[in-house]
Amino acid sequence: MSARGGRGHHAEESRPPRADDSRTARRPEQIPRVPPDVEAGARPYRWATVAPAREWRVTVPVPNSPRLAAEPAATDPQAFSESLLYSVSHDLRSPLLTMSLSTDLIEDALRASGTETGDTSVSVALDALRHGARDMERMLQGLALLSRAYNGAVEPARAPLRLVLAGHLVISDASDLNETLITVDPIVVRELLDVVASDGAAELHVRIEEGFALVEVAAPRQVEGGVTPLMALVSSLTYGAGTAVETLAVRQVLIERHGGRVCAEGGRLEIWLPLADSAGPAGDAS
Amino acid sequence: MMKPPPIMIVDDDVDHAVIARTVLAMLAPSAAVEVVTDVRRVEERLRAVEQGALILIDRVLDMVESFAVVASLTDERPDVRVVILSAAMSPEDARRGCEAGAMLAVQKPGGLAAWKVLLGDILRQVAESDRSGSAGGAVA
Repeated sequence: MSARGGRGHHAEESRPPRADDSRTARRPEQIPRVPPDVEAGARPYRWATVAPAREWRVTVPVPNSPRLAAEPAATDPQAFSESLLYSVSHDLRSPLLTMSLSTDLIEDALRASGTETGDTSVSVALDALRHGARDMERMLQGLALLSRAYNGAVEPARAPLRLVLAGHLVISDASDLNETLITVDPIVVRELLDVVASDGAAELHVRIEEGFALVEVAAPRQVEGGVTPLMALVSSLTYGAGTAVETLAVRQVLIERHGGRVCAEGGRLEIWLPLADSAGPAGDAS
Repeated sequence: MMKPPPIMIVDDDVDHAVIARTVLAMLAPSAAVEVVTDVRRVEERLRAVEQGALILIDRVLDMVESFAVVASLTDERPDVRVVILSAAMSPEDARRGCEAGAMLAVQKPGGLAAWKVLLGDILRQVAESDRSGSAGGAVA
């Protein structure tokens, strides 16, 4: 009997991406990431928070050596960020568990010994410990979901746009939208729209643009102000973790890993869904 | 009431191991519980585990995933029941754990009450399987 398992932090399911499968290669270059007015400096404050995400897309030179090429450089910002995200989300929960369980055990022991905690400072301290632990648990859970969205396996998708649009009010000049094929998992997009529309029907403005189906929808209250759900979440875990912002952010990551993009513009979310070429990647079109 | 099975807790986080033992002492005071926190002794202790034992093992021991150890153990000792616990368990990891032969692979709960529920359920499940005469078997 021997332990032949891989290193805990680099399991198959959760390994950080290598340089050669960086998101740079999968992301559509033709999407205008920074609106012209922002590039001109009209609203630099808004995009300051977006800067880290843009920096992750820096292409890192890959050494010629196959062995070295298989390992991301320590300075690869994308690999670093995602490894750090994994470590923070998983490793910190262990000492947190110890603290929250110890709090419960102390209270149990006090009760068993007949010590009246009542409104004493002991009771206040135990409550504060418990609240703090609960908040940390919520935030770490949000980071764990993001980490899994970044590092989990992504199956190639190929599905008709109607699977995304069905049940919503669609406004479009484009013809034959229903049979238009996209390469994003439609369930992920629907889950995002469900949150946006609070499980009702959303008003979707749809057009075909530069190889993408662009779906525009009014941004939900939680991500108003031109910030994408992902940036809203990572800007304030206190505010976003465990809320609809977290659900939206995770779907945003999954959509972008399929080659799409979620942008925030004014009071709207723009969801860019890549169209399947007629000779595009094989996938399940059902 | 049936005698609880011998229990082995394998966890390189001493605090977690001690807390699990404390909770087990509340739920099954008569159970013989062995705690192994020294990863170098894990294989030796697992080889010597008693017939029909319940093993609570951490998913990652000293930075190495324990799925291979679990698979090997459940192959060699179909009489033992293994539960894989982890501070963070993704659905994918839970699936791998069950494929390795664990009866359950689950995230460690964040509160004492939830720990009691989880371990109580596991003990009940083991007792039922002992009553019906079957060992092991996936429940998750």
